[in-house]
Amino acid sequence: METLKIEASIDTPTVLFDFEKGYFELSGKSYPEDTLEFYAPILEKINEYAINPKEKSHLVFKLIYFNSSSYKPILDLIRKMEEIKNMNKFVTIEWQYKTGDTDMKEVGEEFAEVVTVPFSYATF
Amino acid sequence: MAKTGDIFSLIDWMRFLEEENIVMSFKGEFNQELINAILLLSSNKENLNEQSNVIRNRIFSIIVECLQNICKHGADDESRSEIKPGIILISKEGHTVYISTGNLILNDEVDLLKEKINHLKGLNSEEIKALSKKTMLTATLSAKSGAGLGLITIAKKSKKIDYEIKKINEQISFFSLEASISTLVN
Repeated sequence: METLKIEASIDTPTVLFDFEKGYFELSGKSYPEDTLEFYAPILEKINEYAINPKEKSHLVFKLIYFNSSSYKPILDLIRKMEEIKNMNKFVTIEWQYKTGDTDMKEVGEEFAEVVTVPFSYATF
Repeated sequence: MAKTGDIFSLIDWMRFLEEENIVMSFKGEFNQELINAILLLSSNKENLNEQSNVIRNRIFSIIVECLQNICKHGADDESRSEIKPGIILISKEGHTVYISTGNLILNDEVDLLKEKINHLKGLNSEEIKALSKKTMLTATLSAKSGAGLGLITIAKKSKKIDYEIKKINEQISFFSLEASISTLVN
């Protein structure tokens, strides 16, 4: 699958999905005017990847901010990783947050509780 | 507002803004571009530019949720759709930032909105966190998500929320929401 790269805009994040390397990254801010319009094609790609995933997949979140309606597509991405893990693949999720942003760290921990994929945390 | 002679007396308006510690105010028709402009302006305001990332993000978050709620759920006085009339006012007193927004809503929506906010007002911060988590986990991805999640997020990020609803006519009411945020990290 060809790498999916979407440059950030003022209200949408940078998306870098390198399917060959099994590396997925979402960074920046996410509060699109139309959440569905932005995330539907991205989720479609990850669903396609999940049919025949690589041995190792690594999902990185490096978000400064996301709004309440971006929560669902983020959760969908995380759940998709869980699905891949259940296919006996090696999956890790890295949750990065701005130094001192304890709210953002907390949301990461909330996501981590929902799945069995191991989360690691780091600040940027 | 006092008018002297033929011109609008802005000095009184300036004094009023200063006395009320108003950092920023805007009245107009909201859309996503305007939300971005307001976010940019507010993040550049010296007295709102908090040192702490968590406080900065809470202010940013409340502005986004309040204004996107207006865009998604606000009513208009006629039947134009894309742009929604509204007002935002940000003030700061000591260690508290107040974000107040106002917009039109349909009278039919008043009871449900009151119920939602009164419920949130009665919860403590731990209960709000739990409700937020529960709601988020069961949310669906849709073009027009329910205002519930936005309101819960506003309550979660603020120290206190309050509101007022005033009937304008048989169809619409004016809804004011005030969220206060402590700038002291907890």
